[in-house]
Amino acid sequence: MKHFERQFATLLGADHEPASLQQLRQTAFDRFKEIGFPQPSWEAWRFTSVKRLEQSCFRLSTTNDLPPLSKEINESGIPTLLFVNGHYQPDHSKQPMGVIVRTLIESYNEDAKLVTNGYDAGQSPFAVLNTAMMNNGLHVSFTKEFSSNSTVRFLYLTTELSEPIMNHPRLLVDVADGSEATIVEEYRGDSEHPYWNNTLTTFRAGRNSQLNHIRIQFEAESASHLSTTFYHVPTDGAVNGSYLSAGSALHRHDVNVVLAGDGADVSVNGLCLTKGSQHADHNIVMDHAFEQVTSRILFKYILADKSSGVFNGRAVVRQDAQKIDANQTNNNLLLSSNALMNSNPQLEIYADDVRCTHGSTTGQISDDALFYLRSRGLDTAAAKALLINGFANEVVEEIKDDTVQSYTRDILETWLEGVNRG
Amino acid sequence: MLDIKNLHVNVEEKPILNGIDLTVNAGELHAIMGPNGSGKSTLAHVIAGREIYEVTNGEIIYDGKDLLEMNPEERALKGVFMSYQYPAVIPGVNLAYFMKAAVNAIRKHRGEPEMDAVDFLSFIKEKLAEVEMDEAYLKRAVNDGFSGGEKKRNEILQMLTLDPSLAVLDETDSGLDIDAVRIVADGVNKFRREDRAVVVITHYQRILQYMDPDMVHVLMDGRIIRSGGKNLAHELEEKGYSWLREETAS
Repeated sequence: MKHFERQFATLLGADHEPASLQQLRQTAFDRFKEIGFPQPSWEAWRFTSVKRLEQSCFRLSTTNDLPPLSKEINESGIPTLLFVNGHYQPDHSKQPMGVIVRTLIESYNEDAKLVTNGYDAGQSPFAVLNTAMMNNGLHVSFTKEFSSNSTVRFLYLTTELSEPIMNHPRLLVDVADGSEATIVEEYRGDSEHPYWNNTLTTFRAGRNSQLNHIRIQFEAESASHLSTTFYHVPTDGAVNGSYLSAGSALHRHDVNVVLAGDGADVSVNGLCLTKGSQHADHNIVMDHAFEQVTSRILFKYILADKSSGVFNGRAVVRQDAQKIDANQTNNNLLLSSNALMNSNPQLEIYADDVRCTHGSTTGQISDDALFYLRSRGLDTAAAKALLINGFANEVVEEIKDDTVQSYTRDILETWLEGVNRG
Repeated sequence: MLDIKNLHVNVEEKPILNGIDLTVNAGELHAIMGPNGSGKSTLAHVIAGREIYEVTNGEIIYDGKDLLEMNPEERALKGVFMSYQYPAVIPGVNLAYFMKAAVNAIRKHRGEPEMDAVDFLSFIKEKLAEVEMDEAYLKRAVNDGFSGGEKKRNEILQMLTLDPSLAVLDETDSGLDIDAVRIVADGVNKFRREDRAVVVITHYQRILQYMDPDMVHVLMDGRIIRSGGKNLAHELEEKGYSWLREETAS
């Protein structure tokens, strides 16, 4: 903790920040010290150890950590807002029509509640730490003028580090009533030095809006990636979340969904790939607070080598949330007998007229299916790849952007090649 | 084309096949009949190369080569095809994708250029029509949610598409209504050629009404106890398998 206190001290006295914001940081940091790092005795952290972070000496990133940027850094063709080593790069970013981008400080100066509206409250030490140490936060608003056919990407790149650093990116996204937005939130890295990203992203969907949120975590193997995502979904709002995670040594993602109005509809699909000694943990809370809301969770893990995974899904159905439909499924494929999966779908129901289902399976590649494919001329590696792709397809097909869907398949293919070699 | 000599096979150390001798020449169709548990499916799986079946004695020569030395995909690439009694389900992989992968694996092995998506589509559509399957199947996951009849038709589709030299059909007719049996039999008849051989494994002679087998063999307790012409199938239909069992015992 001493190390984190020293790092925090470097943030105080920043003259571009209003005193109230500095106070907000201080309060959050005090809170973080009070909560402390998660311990194995905490129910939500039983199978995920963060000792490596607690004992680490990550330095907060400064603008000195910014490498010279080449023009080709964004080659995907998707309009992208680029962050490099924690720093927003407006000159390398493309801001589409109908999207208003402000720094979080600008928005904070207009309305402090935007940052303090309660999304970072609660018990998660890392959400609190993000508030204490957040840097280069953005507030992005999708207005009605935004064309629903286009996609916007937020690319967080970590590259060419000279020593281990940490970042606490903060993103607040508003989607206007009655509009549609497709957003890619993507983390990539190629640093040899270990680094830590502790992200907090909040989506406030509009009434009768459609938000497609694609999240890609393909950090360097040296990285730790901890993230918190909030969705606030009001009346008739719809959210489709599609996650792919394939990178980082340690990955933990807390997802908190509040279905906060009648008719809200949320799907969260995830594909999580782990190999080597990677560990990935998704902890999803789906809070059904209103009538006739619907939610679906589909998470699939593919685990190779000595890697491990955790899935915690909790559907909370409040007393007034009658006639809701909630479904959660977690299916896992073990490619090695040394891989380990902990799956724990839970229901917490206080209403009496609801439909809730949950299920979980963990298994290996079917010998029958493998033999079937081989007997049609595919070699073992090709047959396994086909079966693994088939397993992943249910999630990949749900990605609501063809370009992203296709490069998601590329990531899966690259990952599979790595596993076959290994 | 296929020469099986004194084949002994164990499954989990239990002997299932106890000395099979069988020769099938190019252009011929042989039927292997037998009661449940006689070892029919084991024979089909051993020819296809399933590893859980342990060959303890004997040999299988295919096209002059030792088949038992080859792994399952080598056998498939060299023209051995098995139609399964219970085809595996391949979730998330659509039929078009799977068939294109299989067709191109075989074309590559033969030194032919691989088919692109457009050529493949027109090619597979012709084959679908031959087994009266709708084009919509191409987008469905392989065997996922298929009825028994759909699965068997899909097996015949694969046989016609992959162009093997030797096709072994394991109880492809069981559990099918008469229309489906006819479609399967039509598929086999279309497949037959001077340079191809077919082994039809079946419990019932029903499907043989629509085919013209050159030989009928009766498999019982892991041995071929009787071989004959097409009439043997009719005899079995009338008298049942117990007749042969008694006759063999005496």
